[in-house]
Amino acid sequence: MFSDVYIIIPCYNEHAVLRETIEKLLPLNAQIVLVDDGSAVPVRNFTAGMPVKLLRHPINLGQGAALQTGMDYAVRMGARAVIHFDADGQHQADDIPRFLETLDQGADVVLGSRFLRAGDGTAVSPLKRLVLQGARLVNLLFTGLWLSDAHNGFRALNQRALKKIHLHENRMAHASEILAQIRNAHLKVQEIPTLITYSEYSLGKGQKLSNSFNILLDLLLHKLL
Amino acid sequence: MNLIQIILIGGFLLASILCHVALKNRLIARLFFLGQFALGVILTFCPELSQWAADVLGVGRGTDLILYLLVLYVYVGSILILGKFRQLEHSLTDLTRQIALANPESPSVSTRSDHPAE
Repeated sequence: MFSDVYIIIPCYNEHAVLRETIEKLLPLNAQIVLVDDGSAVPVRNFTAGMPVKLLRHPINLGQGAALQTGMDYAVRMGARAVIHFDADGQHQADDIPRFLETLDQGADVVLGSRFLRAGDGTAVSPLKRLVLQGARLVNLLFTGLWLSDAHNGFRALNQRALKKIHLHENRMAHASEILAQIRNAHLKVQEIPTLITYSEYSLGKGQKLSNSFNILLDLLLHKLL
Repeated sequence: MNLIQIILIGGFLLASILCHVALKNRLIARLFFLGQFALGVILTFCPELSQWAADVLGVGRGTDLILYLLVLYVYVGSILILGKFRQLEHSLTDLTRQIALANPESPSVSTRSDHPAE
């Protein structure tokens, strides 16, 4: 059904729920690309027999770098569209067809949002919600885009966007960098509602709130140097 | 010659030699550090020159002027080093990416590499 759609999953020591995450994606018949970002134990040890493509960074670079490697691979393979998907199981595979439909309706980039549909954002803690509001402001200042959510890693990009976007921020600051590039390249962006499931595992693996300052500093550094 | 002058000249000389060894084929950088070495030696033997420069610039003492310039120097140096790190990070990222893209694997088929069409 989606054989020319590439789902890119960056992995860094994500072994606990990886197979489960992949199994939920299999019914889509899309191309699943795992980018092993230098995991201590290679991801290949946990994906035996699974219909996926594996790309392994010999060293750990960060999620932004892993996504770009996956996008480069997808472009080489002639992908119609690319989906950014988290390995920790917090994104819903069932949402992917809606992302692709929105691309088909004319968007170049589709971004998931936890705050467009009543109930989706209830799983977000009040403190995190506050930080996300700050992150929305930072995104506005650095990228000029005013979005309902910040740092939601669930995205879809069409071929036009793949040609225009190249992530240079290796770590988490790529989430703001991609918005700046969307704006600079005049790509048509659309947000759609997504439910993020915060399991104990994904919360443990997820970004610490204190990391927001690192992201901000990365962005400043990128602007200055 | 005072003991402190011997220590300072020895330190300047050692740092200068290390810089020249590390900066092979980089003439401008070598000249820059040579200039620093010369300045250090001159100020070690003629500390009154720093007082003269301080008076010209409106700073109270020569040692204060040297301290201010040192702070500025450390900031500028740090920024240049950060920029260099960033360049190296980009190079390392490109290299790592090329290695990953050259060796895609398909676990379901076999352990052989499966190269994309160029």
